[in-house]
Amino acid sequence: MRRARLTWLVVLVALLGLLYAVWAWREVAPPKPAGSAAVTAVMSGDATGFTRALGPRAFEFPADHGPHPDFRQEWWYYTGNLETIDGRRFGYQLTFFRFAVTPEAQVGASAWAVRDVYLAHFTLSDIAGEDFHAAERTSRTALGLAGAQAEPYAVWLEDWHAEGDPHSLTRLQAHAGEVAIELELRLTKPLVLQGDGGLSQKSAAAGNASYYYSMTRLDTAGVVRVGQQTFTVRGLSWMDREWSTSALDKDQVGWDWAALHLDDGSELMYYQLRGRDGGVDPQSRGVLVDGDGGVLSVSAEQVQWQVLDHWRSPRSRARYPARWRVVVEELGLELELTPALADQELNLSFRYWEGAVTVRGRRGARSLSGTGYVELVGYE
Amino acid sequence: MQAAPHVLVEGLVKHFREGVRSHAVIDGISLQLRRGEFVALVGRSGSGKSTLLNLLSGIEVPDAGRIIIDGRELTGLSERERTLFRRRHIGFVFQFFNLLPTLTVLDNLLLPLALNRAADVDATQRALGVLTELGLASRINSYPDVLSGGEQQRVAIARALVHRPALLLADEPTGNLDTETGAEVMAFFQRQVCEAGLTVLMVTHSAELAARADRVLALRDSKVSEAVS
Amino acid sequence: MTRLLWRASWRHLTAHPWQLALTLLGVALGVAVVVAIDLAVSGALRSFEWSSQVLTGRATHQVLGGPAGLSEQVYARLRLDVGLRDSAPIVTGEVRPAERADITLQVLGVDPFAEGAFRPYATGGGEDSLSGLLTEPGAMMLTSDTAARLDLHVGATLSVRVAGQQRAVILVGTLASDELTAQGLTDVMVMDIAGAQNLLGRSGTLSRIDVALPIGPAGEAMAAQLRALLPHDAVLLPATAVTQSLTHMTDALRFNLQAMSLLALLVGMFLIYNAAAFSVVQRRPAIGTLRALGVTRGEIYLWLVLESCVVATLGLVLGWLLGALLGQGLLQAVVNTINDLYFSLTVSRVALEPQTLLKSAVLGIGAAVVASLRPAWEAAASVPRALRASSLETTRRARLPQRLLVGAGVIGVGGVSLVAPGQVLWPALVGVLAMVAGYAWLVPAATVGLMALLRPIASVFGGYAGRMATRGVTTHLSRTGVAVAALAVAVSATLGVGLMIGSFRHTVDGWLQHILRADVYVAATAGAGLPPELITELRAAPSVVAVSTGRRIQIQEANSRTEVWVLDPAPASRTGFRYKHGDPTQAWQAFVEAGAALVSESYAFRQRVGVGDTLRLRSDAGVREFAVAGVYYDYGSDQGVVALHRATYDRYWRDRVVASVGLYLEEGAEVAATMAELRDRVGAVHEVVLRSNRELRAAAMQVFDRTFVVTDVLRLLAVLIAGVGVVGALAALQLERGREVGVWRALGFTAGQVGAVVTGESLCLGLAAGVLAVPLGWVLALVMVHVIQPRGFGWTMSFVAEPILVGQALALSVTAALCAGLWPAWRMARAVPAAALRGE
Repeated sequence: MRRARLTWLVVLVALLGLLYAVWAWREVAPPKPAGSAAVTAVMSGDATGFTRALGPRAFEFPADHGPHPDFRQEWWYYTGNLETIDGRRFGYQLTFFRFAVTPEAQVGASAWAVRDVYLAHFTLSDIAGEDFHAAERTSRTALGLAGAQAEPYAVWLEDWHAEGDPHSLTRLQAHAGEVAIELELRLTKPLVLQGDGGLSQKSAAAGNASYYYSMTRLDTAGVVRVGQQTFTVRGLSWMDREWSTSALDKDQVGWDWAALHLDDGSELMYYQLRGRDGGVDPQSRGVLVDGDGGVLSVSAEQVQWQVLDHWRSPRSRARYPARWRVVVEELGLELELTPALADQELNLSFRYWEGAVTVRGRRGARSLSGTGYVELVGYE
Repeated sequence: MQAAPHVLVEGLVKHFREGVRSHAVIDGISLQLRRGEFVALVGRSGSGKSTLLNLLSGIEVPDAGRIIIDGRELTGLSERERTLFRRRHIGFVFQFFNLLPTLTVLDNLLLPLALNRAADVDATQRALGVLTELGLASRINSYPDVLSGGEQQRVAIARALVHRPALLLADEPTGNLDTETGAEVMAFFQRQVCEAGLTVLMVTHSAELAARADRVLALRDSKVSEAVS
Repeated sequence: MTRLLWRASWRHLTAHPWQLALTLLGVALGVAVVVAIDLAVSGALRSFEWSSQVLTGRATHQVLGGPAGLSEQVYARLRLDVGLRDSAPIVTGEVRPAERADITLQVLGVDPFAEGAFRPYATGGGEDSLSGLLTEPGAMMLTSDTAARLDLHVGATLSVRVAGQQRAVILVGTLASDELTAQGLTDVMVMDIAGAQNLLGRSGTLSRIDVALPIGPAGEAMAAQLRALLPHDAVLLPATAVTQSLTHMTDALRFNLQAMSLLALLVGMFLIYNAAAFSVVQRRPAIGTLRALGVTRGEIYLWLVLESCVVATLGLVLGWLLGALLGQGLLQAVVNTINDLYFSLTVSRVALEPQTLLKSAVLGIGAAVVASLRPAWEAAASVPRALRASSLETTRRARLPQRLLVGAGVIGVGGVSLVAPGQVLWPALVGVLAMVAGYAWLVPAATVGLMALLRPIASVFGGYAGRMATRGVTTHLSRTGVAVAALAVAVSATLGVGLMIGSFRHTVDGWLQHILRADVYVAATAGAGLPPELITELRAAPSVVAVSTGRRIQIQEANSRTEVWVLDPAPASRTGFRYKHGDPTQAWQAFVEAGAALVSESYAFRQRVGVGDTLRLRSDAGVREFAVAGVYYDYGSDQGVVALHRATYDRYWRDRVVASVGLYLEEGAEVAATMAELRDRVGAVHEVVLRSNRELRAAAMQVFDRTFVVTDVLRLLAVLIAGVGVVGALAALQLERGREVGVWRALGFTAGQVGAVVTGESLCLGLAAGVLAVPLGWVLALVMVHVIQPRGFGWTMSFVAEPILVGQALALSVTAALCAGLWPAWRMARAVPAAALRGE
């Protein structure tokens, strides 16, 4: 009897000890990393208290090259295709976004109070090297870490810069990891005000619009660095400037955007806003800029935007369109756009595909070729 | 001229528990000891001899029956009263001497007297007298563990007698001694007993020792019978 | 064969459950104390390290500033000019909830846009809470546990005190993290860096910049490049430097507490030894029979040692459980001590770590094996015949002279180890342990002597019971000797530590009286300085004749942290310094006029500097050298302090903060009245703490006393274990002496008389242990005061004995023994004599 009881006691004590040891072990499991939400938090802020793009405005330069803090978001968007003298091709994107976190800055003595947050994306498509580099930076404006100004023109996020005189020469500078660009951009055509005199309506609701102008053809020269190699390059860049408080409608899931430099001296830009139902918003539109700077507006009905192929990202598993046939019958324009690299997906704070494309086609009887950039947002 | 018996035992029963079962070690024993009588108790190992001694001394309590010593009914006394009765009226000699190792020879002897609150001077005198008689006068301040077996048992016997009990219970007093020493000790024992006129109940295995008794009782099958002397 | 032996063990152990219980308790208590101390001390530190690690995140280095903080422009330069991307600005500080003075919240001000890579949790609180953090004034985030503890829900406002002011902060979200990270974030309040600067009033400065550099030569090259670029008042240090130098501060404390816990284990070893020896004595006949049947000595030896091992393993598990409980109990006391002495730390929960379990297992089982070696050897060596216990007693007593020699030898070795020159602590502690062990070895012999002395007295007062009791202790020396030794060691430790603390207290009190010269002290509330206009006002206050100002700063360097006491002395301040080395007049003159430093005794000890040497400190103007003009007595910090004159400090540092002011009143001024008047004058405008000389001293002594709480608990535990040892010894005696007690009863002892004898024996044990503990305790105190303290902390103390402690030790010993003897006495008195007598 007593022996049996004692046996149980011993077993019980041993079990308790074991349990405690297991519990103690569990306590020292290694920590898990978690993702950053800072950027998405900033981008999903409240729109109240900000000005909306309700009607046409009189653009004033150089003031409008600088920031528009009354509006919630704004960007300076440089993309371009470059080539070395022996034909090695690169694509680049350098974009500065400004997001206002709040209409009124926090009070207090601290210089760190946040009103605007800057975000920048820099990509380099090394076509021959079949490599795509993408990097992101974020910063508040405190201590001059990031910002934008009209005079002298400058947009910067730490040591990524765009500065100079937009109407003549702009210098771009960015580096990330093993790639870097140092470029000079010379404006060769007048600014193009997009939409209705610069008011670009994105959906039917009033205020869902942006102020939007472009520099469609910027002669570009400079250097591209990849690892230890430095390439002297020339090419063409496109610059978009846009600011707004709200643009997309609830029913819109994303957009496709293309800006093409054609070898007849013209540029074609077109964007289409996609609805949740897969349909194209009637507000979608584009513009054809002739070699002499003549601007022709193109509406959604005029453009056939045909997807010829798809590509699935191995990282995000998202499926993007990958080759297009663009026809504008009224202009006799028929083009085929092919991505210079399949994988030009930016998997950063927000995910989209933006990359260099090669253009082949014709306008009327004349065959055309060219380069451009395509942006694909909101694909799953 | 039949005086009242010194020790009267009637219908004594003692059970022992072994696990869940119990069996009677002593089952209805009755016996009488006359005053001054020397009685030997024989029996096989485990027949209950030691138990009987423990019952008689009040160390254990019977399950049934009566024990009357000197007209006092032991079975009606409380534990404390039995202890006080024992220290006054009963002497005990054990097989293994059982001197207290924590006391000197003299103190061992004095202990029963002290327990009976005998005057100190008186007691010491008497104890010294006994020790001298035992030939142990030189060892009074020794501790028991330096004495030989015979010496120890002689001290033990003296300790049992020193407070002049009326009844002496002895449990194989020579059982742990060689024959020669045993005989010596036994002679000493008998001399002391005779001189004091004590009633003695002595448990023994030895027929030779039993032969020295006035009467021999045999304990067999939990009963006592008068053995042929 | 082996299986039979094990069955015999099992039978023996289960047949004597009380004996088994006592052995288990011996191991368990010893292990429990070791585990508890390890858990509480190392656990608290590990938790601190974990918390620091969580707060440091992925940073490999930190850029730190001087006492005035780090200019945030340094960060801008790193980002804009150097292009150091993996860097994050940090503002830290402490605030207390207005309603919960017991909680200190660590403010961690971060820039979420620079953070992601460093501390994922800081930006992982969800989009809403994060934009709230950026835009709402006073916005902050806590872990949900901390929020619950403060009874806060998201959106609720908390009133906090910071630098003497009440401010509101608002909980905008909870920190999302796994459970373990959340533990490291207990009581951490994450804010946006702007909010943190505003709350703490630190705009323009950072606490540090976290930097992640690659590992290897590339990282080292970058570090070198960075160092070259940093301004003089900034320094690039490994991220672990602060945590490491903080935890190193507690080394001596940790070491001492661990030594105390080993003492408890030593006392526990006596218990195990006693139990092992007794179980061997009990089984002597059986062992004799086994030997007679042909079991070899080796087999017997191995069997008994392994048996001890098995029992010890069971005791070990029990000890872990007990230790875990006890450790939780001790944790707060340890945390308080570290908070008082070293740095602020919050620990919500600690867990038993595998290394604690392993360490205690080695110690516990090792102790059991060592303790059982000798009894097992004795059993194995005995001739193959059933011997009586008494013969063992005889041999044991016969061996006493031999023991004396061994004991004296061990004490001698301990003594040599103690007086051996050197500054290292461990030989001294080994010496102490050797002395204790050697003394314990002598205890049985001394006990025999004491009992012989005691017997006449005992027989006068206790008669036979007294005589039997004193003799009983001697007769059963194999039992009682060990119990007396255990109790004597425990009591002597209590006495020794008590005397040491008394001396220490006396020394510190004397020092405080000396160094606190001003009549009234005005201090800024935590984290703030005194406004200059207040100081001017205090200088001008009626009956104030002189003013001294003070400020204490910490200078962090790669491997150390130096406390600098910036003093602008009043004329009377000069007499507050008592010098160990250096001429007072010259030292003071050099201090005031020549920009020299005075260093405290422990600083001189730790940094091995003396008068005439120079020491290097990282100032805002780069590393500067200061001549050491004097070494003064100081007991405020065991890390040591460097005292600099305010003028010297102002020359090399930008910081102008004054944290406290000492006011010297004119002769005959009424302190209480002056303080009341001062409170009226300044209290309405400034939040400051006013304390009289006497109040400040009392507060300091209170802190002093609080730091010894853990020590007190350990002392009591050692006595408790020894008490269990006495229970064990007496209970063993009872079992062993069943027959003897039977004889007592046969002779007519009443139950009460039996109880009296046994209680008398307890009393004798207690007295013997108490008396024997006094010299050992005294020596231990001397050793601690004159060897351990100087070597461990660099402190000179005077030995001041309080006689009452000796009386207390005796009383403690006797009381412990009497309490421990109650149960055995009761059991022995109640034992049925017939059963014992039949034991033949």
